[in-house]
Amino acid sequence: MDFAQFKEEFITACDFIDVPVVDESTKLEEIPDFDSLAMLGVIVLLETQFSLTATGEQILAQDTLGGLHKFAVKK
Amino acid sequence: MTIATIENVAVKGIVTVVPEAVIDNLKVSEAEERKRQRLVKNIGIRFRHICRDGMIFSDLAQKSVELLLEGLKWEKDSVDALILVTQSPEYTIPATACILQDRIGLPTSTSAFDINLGCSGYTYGLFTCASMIGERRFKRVIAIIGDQSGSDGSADNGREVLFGDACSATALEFEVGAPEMHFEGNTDGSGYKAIIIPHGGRRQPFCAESLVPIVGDDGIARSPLDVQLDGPGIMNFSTTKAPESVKRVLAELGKEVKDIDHFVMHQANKMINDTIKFKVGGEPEQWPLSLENYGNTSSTSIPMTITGNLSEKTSAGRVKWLTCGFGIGLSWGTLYFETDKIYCPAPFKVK
Repeated sequence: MDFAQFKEEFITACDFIDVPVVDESTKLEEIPDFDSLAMLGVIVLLETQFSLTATGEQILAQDTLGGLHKFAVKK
Repeated sequence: MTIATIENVAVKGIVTVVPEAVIDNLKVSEAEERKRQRLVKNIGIRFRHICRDGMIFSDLAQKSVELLLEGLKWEKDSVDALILVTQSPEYTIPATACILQDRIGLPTSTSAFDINLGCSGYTYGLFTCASMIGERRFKRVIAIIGDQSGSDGSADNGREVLFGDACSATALEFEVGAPEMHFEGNTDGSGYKAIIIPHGGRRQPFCAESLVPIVGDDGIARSPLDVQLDGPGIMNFSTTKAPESVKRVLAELGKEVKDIDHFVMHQANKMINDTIKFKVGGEPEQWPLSLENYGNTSSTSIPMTITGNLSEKTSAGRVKWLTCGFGIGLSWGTLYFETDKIYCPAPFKVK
């Protein structure tokens, strides 16, 4: 899955009220409304699309959306 | 790992009871509306029934047994044991099952005790009760299983919208040739902090600090007497362990997904339940959800789904169930059983 497709999946998983403008360098913690519900959505995304079980800490440790994409596809 | 088999025990009836008072999760101020709509859409929970005006869990428990006995036309002195699975006891001690034996009017020859489990409680409770029944054991046992875990006006937004109060009573009876039940139980106590009330037990007795709210990383103030939930941790646990256990029991029984009429999971929230379904497979109608109308009702959520979604079908014919409860402990259990035209009315609402 390339980054563009991952970004779409990420935005869908987070179900943001107002869809933010994000790119590979966007820091996860700086995304408006990246709250606990969005985090759960990302955990489900990783589990169902990448067979990857990740904790909230592991997700935040990827720092940026690009980092999270690499983390997801490295398997 | 042992998957236990129970022979000659039949489930004869399932009754569920909720308080009449109901909270609509979408009834919030205009300013909060969009956020709340997003939350409700994702967790799948619109309505939650709540004990109010002095009603407590044991009131629901008593009513559920009375309705079950009435529906089955069982004489009170025919009941050998009354087992209560709950984390909402009337008192820390004595066991609430003992109090209920008297209030319901069961004879003093009734065995009664409590089991302290939450979301995994239905599978463990039925297995424990079924284990007590046999040719030279008890003939009729009632499992009361449920909790008062709903909140009403809590500042904890994550928990406030999630839980509802409910109780179930399930009747089990000795019956030669009844379809076998199969049970697998699992525990990982290293995760005990994932769902916990920190104060009030022997480790951290109640003290002045127990009432002092502490603001967590999520900005929500909770006192040490409030339930603390590690959302992402529970999500990881549930979506990993439940499907593994369900698949293991299916394999042990030599059955495929299509051989099961209904997979009834603990109703945690829609995200968790959809992920488990995704990992196990099957058709949508095999995976009923009762979250929208009742919320997460802890250990009642499995029988709540059976009575809330499948009452008519369960009353009319034979059904093969694969159930899995998972949560606080961390504890998870998977139970296969069958029912055949049992007493299974839709949930009762009580004042």
